[in-house]
Amino acid sequence: MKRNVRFVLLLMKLKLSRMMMFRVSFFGAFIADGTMFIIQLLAFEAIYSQVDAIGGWNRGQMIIFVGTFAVVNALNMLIYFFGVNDIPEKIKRGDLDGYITKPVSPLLRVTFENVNPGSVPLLIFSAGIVCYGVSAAGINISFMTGLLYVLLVLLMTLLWYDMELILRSIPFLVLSANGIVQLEEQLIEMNFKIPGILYKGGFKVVFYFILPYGIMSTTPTQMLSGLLTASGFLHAVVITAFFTAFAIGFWRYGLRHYKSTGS
Amino acid sequence: MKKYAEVFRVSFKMQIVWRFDVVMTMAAAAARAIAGWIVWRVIFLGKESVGGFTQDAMLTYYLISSILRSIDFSHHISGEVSYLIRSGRFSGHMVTPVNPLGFFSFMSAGMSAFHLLFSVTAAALCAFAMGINLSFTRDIARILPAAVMIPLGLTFTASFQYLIGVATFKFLEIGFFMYVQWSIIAFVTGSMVPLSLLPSAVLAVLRFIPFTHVIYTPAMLLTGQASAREGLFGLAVLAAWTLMMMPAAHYTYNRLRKKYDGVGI
Repeated sequence: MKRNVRFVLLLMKLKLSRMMMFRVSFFGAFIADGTMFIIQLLAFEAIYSQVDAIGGWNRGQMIIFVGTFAVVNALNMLIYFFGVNDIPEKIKRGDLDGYITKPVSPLLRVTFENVNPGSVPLLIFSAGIVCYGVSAAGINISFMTGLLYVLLVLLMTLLWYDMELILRSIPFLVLSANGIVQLEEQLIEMNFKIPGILYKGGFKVVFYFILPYGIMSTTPTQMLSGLLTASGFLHAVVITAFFTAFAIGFWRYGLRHYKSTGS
Repeated sequence: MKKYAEVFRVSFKMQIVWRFDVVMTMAAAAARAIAGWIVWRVIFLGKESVGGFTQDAMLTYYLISSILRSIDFSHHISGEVSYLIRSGRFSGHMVTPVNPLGFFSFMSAGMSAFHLLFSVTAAALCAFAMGINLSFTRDIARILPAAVMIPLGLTFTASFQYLIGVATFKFLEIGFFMYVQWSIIAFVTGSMVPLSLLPSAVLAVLRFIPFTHVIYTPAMLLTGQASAREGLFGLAVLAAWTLMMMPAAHYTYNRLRKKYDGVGI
């Protein structure tokens, strides 16, 4: 464990050194994603200028929803996105050879080798959106609620990681996952605009159980708003545990089918 | 003109190869329409109209805007031009007797033309599955300006994205700038929410920028939410911007191309 932590810290140090060579791009993720979340807030502001609530959620709760999505996205960009995102290309080019033959977990290295410190400002900015939402909703938050919210945000970050890992491990079996990654982008964009509480019927089954993007921002928002039931909390924990186990199992299964050749 | 027609034809045919992209275009059009349907269906519960829209008019607006957004491939232009310049592969476009702006515009037009049918099909299937009563205008005075604005809007965005792409000659890394402008454009074209929901002062300013008339105004005209006069005004604004943007893009290219070293970075 201690060895792994030292290894992760070394990877972070190396990445930071590389990033300092391209200083203008250092804050690229912050500027690009920050703009996207501001635009989404403006879109909801336009809707809330006409109505008081959407599906029972007031303006403040919707701001928390956007902010929470931004926080999970920022953690994703900060920690693992740029590493996991490269998996299909590494499989295609046979670059995983260098990972398998090293005395360290290939998944650990792939996950943490491209941490992006440039996303720290995005994380702070996103937390600011959540605070603004809490203020706009007029919610009083107890220490325990805040703690459970942070726990849920971390769980949802893990769930997002699981989904990314599963989708990007598919090329172990089919070589190209470009289409699947495009599909993932569409699903994330859609779920970024729709709070999970608005899903009914088949959509709820799909986005709560099969492709659980629908709970990623909704559940923490419900927690902060005092609307999350015990079964909702349990659902988030069980879904995350299931998808984490599945993602690791699928990665190992894929690795056994890795052909170790460029194509 | 013959060579550009050939670029259009080849680009059109090339799309057949990328079948999954076609599926993704349909999925994107459907996803936007479904997202609009899920959100606005809830908002309209117990309400006759919101922001001057009936539920059918709002959902029709979303269907039209999702089609128009899914056939706009101009964002590929800035990405590809930027990539070609940075990799040193833009040289091919400099030595062939084809204007690069024309080449990329017609390439994008070929993609749009191919995907149009599939996007319309996806939207029609969504409308059928979601039981939307489509609310189109039959007023020819509104349909005509909208029909002209759609290709004109695509021409404008192609020129604009080309201008962004050639900025790579000077700035080399414009990746995050491209993302920023895509997000802003998605909003000001009205593809996220109808711009009429914004404060009237904001809308008064937006009327004079071209992006508003790429998706928002044609969709408003086709749903009968905007007057023919507003359509003609939008058409005039869009035409004026397009006439300015094309020479501006051409001039910028001629000016910045001297900085190109042709070896990539």
